[in-house]
Amino acid sequence: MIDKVVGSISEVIKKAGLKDGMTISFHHHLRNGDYLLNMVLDEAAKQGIKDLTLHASSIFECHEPLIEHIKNGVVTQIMCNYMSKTVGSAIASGIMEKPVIFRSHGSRPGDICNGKTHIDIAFIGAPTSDVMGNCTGKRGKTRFGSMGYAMADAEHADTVVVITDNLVEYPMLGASITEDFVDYVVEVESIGDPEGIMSGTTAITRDPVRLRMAQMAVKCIEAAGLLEDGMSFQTGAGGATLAVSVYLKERMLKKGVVGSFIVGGITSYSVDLQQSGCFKALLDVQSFDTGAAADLETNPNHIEVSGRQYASAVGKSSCMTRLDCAMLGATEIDVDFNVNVHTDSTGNIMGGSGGHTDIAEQCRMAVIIAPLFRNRLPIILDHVRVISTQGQYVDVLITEKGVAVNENVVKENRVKDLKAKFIAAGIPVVDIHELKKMAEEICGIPKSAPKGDRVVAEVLGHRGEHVDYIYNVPRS
Amino acid sequence: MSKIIRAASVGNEKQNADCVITIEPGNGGIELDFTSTVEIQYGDAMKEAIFDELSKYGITDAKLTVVDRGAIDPVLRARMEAVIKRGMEG
Repeated sequence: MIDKVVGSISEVIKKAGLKDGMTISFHHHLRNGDYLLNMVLDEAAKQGIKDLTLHASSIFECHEPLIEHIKNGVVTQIMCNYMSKTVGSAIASGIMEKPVIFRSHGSRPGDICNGKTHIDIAFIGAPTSDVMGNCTGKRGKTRFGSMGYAMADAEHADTVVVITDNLVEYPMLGASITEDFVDYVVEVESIGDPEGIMSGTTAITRDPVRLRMAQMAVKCIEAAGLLEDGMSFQTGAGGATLAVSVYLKERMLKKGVVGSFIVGGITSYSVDLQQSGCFKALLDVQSFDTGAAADLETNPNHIEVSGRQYASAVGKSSCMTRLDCAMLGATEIDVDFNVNVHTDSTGNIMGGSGGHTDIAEQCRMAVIIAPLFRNRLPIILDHVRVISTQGQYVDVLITEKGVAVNENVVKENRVKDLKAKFIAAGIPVVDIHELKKMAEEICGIPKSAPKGDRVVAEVLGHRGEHVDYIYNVPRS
Repeated sequence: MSKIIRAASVGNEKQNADCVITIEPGNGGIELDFTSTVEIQYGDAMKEAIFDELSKYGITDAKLTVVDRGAIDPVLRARMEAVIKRGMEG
């Protein structure tokens, strides 16, 4: 009989045959509470392993110890879809020789499935697993909900290691990743800090400026003719975008519209929309809060989807193929509607595409919601510092001073004549150059921060194609 | 010419888009300690506004500390005016 259970991470690294130069992968459903990535890298460093490629779906603040592993040569390349500020600033300062490769939530599984990126060993964090590696994120003390981003890794890595803090007897029913992909199972005391894994129910913003933009977004959806039976919707979990869900629910109930699905990162507000009868189904690649994770376990109309089904271009179709409209953010947007979500205005890395690029490129109406300026920095520029999502896929920008429509969108499935439809509905349509000028009248024209001449990261798009480079931030 | 005769402070240090300004009697000139989250983009413009406000009140002798988190010009000037007036009070 096969015995997959291994006593420790140290032992599993030896058994799995981790060697210099290999690629190891991680998924980010444990978000800022993740213990796995640090535990594995610490152990690899202890065993003297060097020159690893870290293929992680996202890097968070809790992964700060990674900086030492980069400096010591344990990790010599990083591939990810998102990188938060601390590690991001270190990368931007130039601590790593090889550029970071940024993909999207769609092109990461895409490039794994089509063989462009090879994974030697995948480490999968599981809040519950049986002794053969049938595992789930839906149960256990470190429950995080959907395991969507880990599925391509499990299917394509040479060796798959499940790390769990709740080992149960065989067979565990309702597994998200099944035993046929799993080589080893390790039980540890804890895979993550529940505080960092899940936010509680995120409170809706009370900022009147943001609420006004959220209301405007619902007006735009309706004016575009998308607020009809069968509509599909996606929204992020931050700032104004979350508030859109609340106003959308009001409007849908009033009009008696029943939508088809909400896709993406699922929040308690998405759950509320589904349970109020506004949408029939929730397609969940990542559960953002405890309410969403709990609902995923019990609600038959709330299902887990893999990253590949969610947003990848390599499958026969994806959820994005049928997506009507999406609410997205931006740290910078330029007059050609190119969006930067990778760096701040000085060039420090503090984010990444996540699903931004996939969603914008595929959905019928991609809406960016952003204020004219944040902490004196205008959001609309002549040129964004880094192109994360190309302007040709961005349909609309909503600000507190008006709505700009991009007339150069190339998507075949786009909603046509948006500008005329918005004007007919009484929406204040303003040219994006005008909006830029309004912000500059209040803030003044910003001096642009200097850009170094060394590439520290490359940004790839929805199909894994080159989009842009990120340069180092020169020392002042 | 007006005089700063006591230390005063204005602004909310936890608030984005605000600045905290402290003023004290000087040592025979203007001494400015300036930090800002938007120093690269707006540092020069902000310093100009600070000196402009000082000269409006005829202040030539003061120690000034500005910790800025992205205040727009009217906010910065209002904070300057308030801190100068408080520093001038008896």
